[in-house]
This record gives sequence, structure tokens and C-alpha cells, in this order.
Amino acid sequence: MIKVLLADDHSIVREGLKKVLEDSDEIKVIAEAADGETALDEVMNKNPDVAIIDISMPGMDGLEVVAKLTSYCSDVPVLILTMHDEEQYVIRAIEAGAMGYVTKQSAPEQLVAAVKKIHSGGRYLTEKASEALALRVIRGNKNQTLNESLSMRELQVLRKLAMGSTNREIATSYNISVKTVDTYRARILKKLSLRNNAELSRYAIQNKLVEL
Amino acid sequence: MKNSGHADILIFMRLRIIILMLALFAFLSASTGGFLYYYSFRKAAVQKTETNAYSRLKLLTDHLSLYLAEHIKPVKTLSGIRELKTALKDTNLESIYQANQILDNFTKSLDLEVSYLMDKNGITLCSSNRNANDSFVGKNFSFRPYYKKAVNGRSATYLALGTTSRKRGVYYSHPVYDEGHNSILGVAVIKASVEFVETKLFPESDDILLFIDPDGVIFISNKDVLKFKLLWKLTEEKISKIMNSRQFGNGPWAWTGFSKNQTDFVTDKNNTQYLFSSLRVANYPDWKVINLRNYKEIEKQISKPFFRVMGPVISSVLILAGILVLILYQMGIREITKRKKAEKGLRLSEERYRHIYHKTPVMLHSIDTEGRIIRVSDHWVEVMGYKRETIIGKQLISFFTPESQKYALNVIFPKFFSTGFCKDIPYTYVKKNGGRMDIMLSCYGVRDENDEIIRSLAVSVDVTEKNRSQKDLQVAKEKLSQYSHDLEQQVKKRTAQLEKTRDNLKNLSKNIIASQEREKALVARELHDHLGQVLTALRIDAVWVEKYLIRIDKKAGNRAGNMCALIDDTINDVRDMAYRLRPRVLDDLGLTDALESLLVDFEKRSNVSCVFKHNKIPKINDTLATALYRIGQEAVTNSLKHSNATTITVELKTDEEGLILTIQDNGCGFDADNNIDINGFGLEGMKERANLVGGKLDISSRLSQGSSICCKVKMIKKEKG
Repeated sequence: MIKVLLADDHSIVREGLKKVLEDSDEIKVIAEAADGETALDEVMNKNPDVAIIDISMPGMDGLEVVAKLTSYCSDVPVLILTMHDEEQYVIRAIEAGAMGYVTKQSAPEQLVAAVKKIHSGGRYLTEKASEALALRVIRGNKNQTLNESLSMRELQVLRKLAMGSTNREIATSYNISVKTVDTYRARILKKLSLRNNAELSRYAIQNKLVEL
Repeated sequence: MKNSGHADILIFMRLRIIILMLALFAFLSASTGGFLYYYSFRKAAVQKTETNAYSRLKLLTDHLSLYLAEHIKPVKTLSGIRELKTALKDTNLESIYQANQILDNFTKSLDLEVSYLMDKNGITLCSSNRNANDSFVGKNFSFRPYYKKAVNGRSATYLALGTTSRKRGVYYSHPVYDEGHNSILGVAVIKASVEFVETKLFPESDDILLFIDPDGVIFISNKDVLKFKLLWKLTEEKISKIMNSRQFGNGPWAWTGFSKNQTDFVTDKNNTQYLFSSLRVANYPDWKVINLRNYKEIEKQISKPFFRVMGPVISSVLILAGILVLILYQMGIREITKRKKAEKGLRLSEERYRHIYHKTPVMLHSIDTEGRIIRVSDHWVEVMGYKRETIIGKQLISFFTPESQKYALNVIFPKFFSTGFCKDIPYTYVKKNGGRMDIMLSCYGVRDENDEIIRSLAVSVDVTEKNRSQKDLQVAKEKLSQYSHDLEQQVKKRTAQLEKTRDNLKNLSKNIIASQEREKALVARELHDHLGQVLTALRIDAVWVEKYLIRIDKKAGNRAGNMCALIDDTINDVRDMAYRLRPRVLDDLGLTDALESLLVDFEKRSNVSCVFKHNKIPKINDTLATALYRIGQEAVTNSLKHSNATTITVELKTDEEGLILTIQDNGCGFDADNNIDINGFGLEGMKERANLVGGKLDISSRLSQGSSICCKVKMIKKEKG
């Protein structure tokens, strides 16, 4: 049984999540918290296998809790659970030391798998979250000034194209039209002074935009 | 001007008169000189003529005397001839013949008219013209004086008209004595014609030459008409005496018309003057040779050469004098014209000066060295209210106030009369109506040729009004400064109030915005946290229900799945709504993440490439973050809405001064200077937000060159402090 701490200030949600977790029969919620301080105390006291912490909480928020835990040299992996699906939160959470990130919305489908993955020592990130992370790393690399002129979406499209995705696939994954993708592609080629997808791929690899 | 013209004419007239007088004088002098010269010349000439005439007359008289005495001796001779005695003594044919022969001989040889012999009784016995028609023989001439004298023993001469011959002649008689010279036998007579004398000695000429008897009967004359006429008017008695004498025929002896008025002049009937001169002839007592010379003719004779010689000289002298006078006149006129012109100019300028002096609407006056007013301008008179007559000659200081008088006498007058100049002297005049007038007096001294000040020319400027206004101005100034002070105070107060109000307003605005943000945040939080959580919980249950039902009742399961999808949509809507109201990321993660998320969101919803650049941003307060976020949001929204840009670049960076947020697009831009159209873009709102956080918003855009909005916020670096 995986012992889990569940910290969420909304009791209804907490109940729901608890139900989702316990329905799996592999996970047991051993502690619950409605705010950051309690969560921190419970993690320190109860020493759960995985801590599931909501970002938005009164008092100390989830990210702080993660940061605190990391600074206390806690080896309890933290799964961030949040209402927010913005990439910024994901990045912050990972930066703070969280091992996984799941939105509450997708909790019924993903929470159990995420807990299991984290408990097994892995990271749990949605595809979107991992992409955001990658992009953040790329952007954070100040040596590559050329990339700066690209927008986030352009970077996304560039990465996809470099990895061999078709326009249609890209359009589907970002929920945009094929035509828009094409527009992005043309714009990227122009901004980077490239001629075709092959050059584009080479550029992406040379600039470590994609992992091989 | 009219008067001067009149004066001009007068001067001209006078000049003309003077010159005419001069000319006349010159003429008169010339004339008088000429005349005197002429007079003396004439006198000399007359004298000379007179002398000439006299000598001529004398010559004539001598000649005449000689001629008349010529036959005295022949008759004596004749009377001594024996034949004649014989004829008288012994009268017979023979003796008469002999006597006649002698007579003929005499007559012939002496070229006589006739010679004859009378007896004692006066009867002609023998005659040389005995054969002529008018023979004297037998005739008795005893009435003749020459007979009477001769018969009485005295020879005689006699001038008479022949009673028989009707010829004038000179009769010479001599008694014929007997041998013993005792008794007179008869008388021998020679008659010589005077015609010869007349033609020889009395030549035809302009002068009248007369030979008259004592009574004035003209016996010989060079003018035929005058013969046997009376030179002078005679009484009847005298005429009858002449008649009786039978000396000059039977008459009548008409009066020639001459009369003697003065000693030297004789006038005729026509009043013609004649110079008269007479000489007695020897042996003819009272017979005179008379010379009558036409005075005028003489004058003419005298003047003619004079005028012939002197005329041109005098006339040329006169003409020269005339020309000289004319030239002088012209020169005089020219000189006078010139002078008059100059005078006129002078007069005009003086008049102008006077006119200007009087008519200039300025107070002008002049005083002499005694301080008496000698001239004032009309304006002076007008302003002061006095009459001009009463002013002139009065002391200037009598129109001053006592203080001004003292000042003038003690200070200004001495100074003025030594320097001849003074300026802006403050005096006070007393007007006729008693009113006072402050003036500023400036004057300079008019100097004569010796550089002595003779009078002043002074300008007085009425400064009463000015002084009053200055005083008023001073008062007004003081008042104004008081007012201004008050106003300043008020303004200060008001400014303080205003500032307070402004601060209040600013605060209010800030508060409004803050509360707005708070409200938004509250609503967003409510939506997100409450509704969102509830929906999430609902979804969890719905998913569970779906999972459960799908095993039992697929239809119900699908229904639950639909519910799930609906809940998902609702969650997304709520999240979107909350995000729009206020992104949680701003509160949770800060400005950078919020802007990045914003741009990602925008990019998702448009085809525009939204590039976000940033460097590390220090932690900033919520208000500033909100403001910058809203500015960025507004700017990007505007770009997306209006610019048709393909790329929007947002840059957030820090420099030494603070934070700089720049939103730049490559769109169509707008006219930043004329932002009437862009007010709707919320630019004012952006500016206000920037202001409220102590920042500054710069908008720069040009049509079709994109636009750039830059917000700079100064930051006090707390971290470093």
C-alpha cells in the first residue's frame, strides 16, 4: 500500500480525490491537510510515501511547501495537484522540487498512475508539462539568442517539426488548424533564415532544441 | 503772405523809381552838360557870327560909303569945266552942245546913269539923256535938296528915286561957279545908279540887308519886296512929309511889319526873331545899313554843325548811359530778386518756425535774460487759460508755485544761463483757474553771434496726469502686490488643497483600481477556487459514476461521460473567466510568468507570433506588478485588435533606473501625435496606471511602421539597500 498525504483546502475535492486514490486499492491516504503548514507538519510527522499537495492553499501555498520540504532534505516525493493548467506552474513546481504535476481536472484519470510513478521513483509529467519544461530549458539558455526571436508557440512547432511531426499532427496536438501550423512553419523558417524542414531539423539538433 | 507780396511790389516800385530817378538824373546831367556845353558853344558861335556879321556889315558900309563918295570929285571936276560955265553963262545951241558933249563924255567914261546941268533956277539945261524918252532937259528939279544945297554953294549928295527916270540913284551936285568964282551959275549933277551897288553889295542871302533913310524907308535891299517899304511903322504925318519930299517917288510906303522890341531883336509880322545890327554910313547922316538875321536860322546854322558833331557823341553817350542804367537795373533787379528769394525763404522759414512754434500742440515758451516771457505757443496759452496779451512780458516765474519759483531762482536759472541747457526740470505751473499743473521742462538757450544767451526755448510737458497715474500706479502696484500676496497665499492654500484633492483623487483612483483588481481577484478566486473546486469534485464523482455505470449500463455510462465532458467545458470556461478577471499566475508566480502566460494565451487564440523576452526581475509589489501586467495586456490586446501585426514582442527588463516594459509590434501603427483616434485604445488608461505607480508611459508609433509602447518605472532597490 502506498501511503499518501493529501493536502487540499477544499474538503469536497479532497473527499473526491481521496475516493479516487483509495478506489485503486493500492493507495491509502494516511494524512490530510487543509493548509500548507498542516501539510508540512503531517509530511514531517507521518512520513508518507507520496505527498499530494495543492498549490492554492491558504497560508503557505503548495510551492512553498515543496520548497520547504526540499530544504529540509525530505525524501518524500511530492506530486503537485492543482486547478491550474498553465505551464508556468508546472515549471515552478518542478523547479521547487516536485516530482510530478497533475491538474485536478485530469485527476480521476491520472492521479493514481502519477502517484504510482512517483512512488516508484520516477517523475510524472503530462506531455504538455514536459514540453513546457523543455522549452523553458531551451529559453533559459542565454547563448542561443536566435531562439529569443521565436515565440513559445513557434518554439513548440519548431520542436515538433524537428522531431518529425507532420503539420496535421501538430495541428491536432495543439488544437489549431493545419493552415496555422503552416503559417508558423513559414514564420520560423524566415526568422531563422532556413529553407526547409531538413535544415530546420539540423538547426534544432545543433541548438539542442530536441533531445535525441 | 499777401502782405509780403504787397511789400515786394512796393520794394519793386521803389527800386524802379530810384533807378528811373537815377536814369533821369544821369540823363539830366548829360543833358545839362550837353546843354551847357551847347549853350557856351552857341554863345561863342553867336558871338563869332555876330562878329562876322559885324565885320561883314562894316565892310559893306565901308564899301557903300566909298561907293557913295565915289562921284563927289568927278562932279566937282565936272562943275569946273568951262563948257558948262559957258553954257550957263552964254546959253546957245553951241554952248549947250558943247556942254552936252562933256556930259556924255563924263557919263560914258564914269559909267554913270546920267549927268546933267541945271541953271540957277533948277531947270535942267543940259543932260546926257537929252535924247531919251525920259529926258531931263527942261525939267525943274529945284525941289531937290541936292539942288538947294548946291545952289547955295555947297556940294551935296542925295539918295533918291528919280522922278522922271523912276530909278534910284545917288545924286552928286556941285555948284558951277563963274570964272571969278564969285557967283554961282548953276548946278552940275551926276546921278549914279544904285542897281550896281545893290547887286554887288547887297547879294541875295538869308540875311536881310537894308539901306534905309533916317525915317526908315528902305532904299536898297537885297530883297526886292522890301524896297521902298517902311522898316518901322510911321505916323501919317511923317509919311506925308516923305510924300512931300518927293525923295522916294509917290509911295505908298507900306510897313514891312518889323518892330523893335528889344535892343538886339527885331520881330516881323510872323513874330520871327531877327538879330538886328546897324551901321551909319559916312556922309549920309542918319542913313543906316541894317542887317537883319533870322535868329532861328542862325541858331540852326550854329547848331547844325554842333549837332552833327556832338549829336552822335551825345546820343551814344546817352545810349551808353541808358544801357548802363538798364544793366544796372537788371543787375539790381536780379540782386533784389535773389535777395528777395533769400528773404522770402528766410521769411518762410521764420514763418514756418513761428507757425510751428505757435501751432505745435506742445507747451513752448521763450524767456529773455530777465526771465520775462517773450513768446509762448498757442498750446501753452490754451492749457494755462491766460490770454496771450497778458502773458507776454511777464515774469515766467509768476506762473509758478512758490516752491517752483524758489527752485527756479536759486537753482535752475543760474544753471541755465551759465550752461544754456537744462532738461526735465520738474516745475509746477499755476493755471488761470487756480489749478496746478506738474510739468517737466526742458530748454536750451538761443545764443547771439557773441555766444551770449539771448533767450530760451523751452518745452513743458504736462506730467500731472503722469504723476497722478504714477502715484495711482504706485498705489495700484502696492494693492496689486497685496492682492498678489493674498492671491499667492490663496493659491498656495488652493494648491495645497488641490494637491490634497489630487492626491485624494490619485488615491481614489488607485483605490478604485486596487479595489477593482481586488474585486476581480475576489471574483476570480471565487470562480476558480470555489466554483472550480466544486466542479472538479463534481467531475471526480462524475468520472466515478461513468466508470461505474459503464460496466452496468453502457447507455447510462455514456450519459455520465457526456456529463463529464460538460463539466470539463464548464471548468475550462470558469478557468478562462477567472483568468480574464485576474490571472492567478500573477499572484502566485509573479509578473514574468504572468506575462509569459498571457502571451502564450494570446498566441493560442491568434496567429500572431508573440515573443516574450525578459531577464531576471526582482520581486516587485503587487500593485506595480498588476499595473505592468494590465498595461502589457492592454497593449497586446490593442496590437492584436488594430495593428494587423504578425509579430508582437514584449520585453521586460531592468536597468539601473528601474523596470522597463516594452510592447512592440510590426503592425500598421498609428499617428501618435494625433491620438484622437486612439483614445479608444485605452492609452489613457495605460498612462494613468503607469502614473499611479510612479511610472512613465511613452507611446511612439508611425503609420505603417509599427508601434511601440514603453513603460518605465523607477524602482528603489530595496534589496541592495
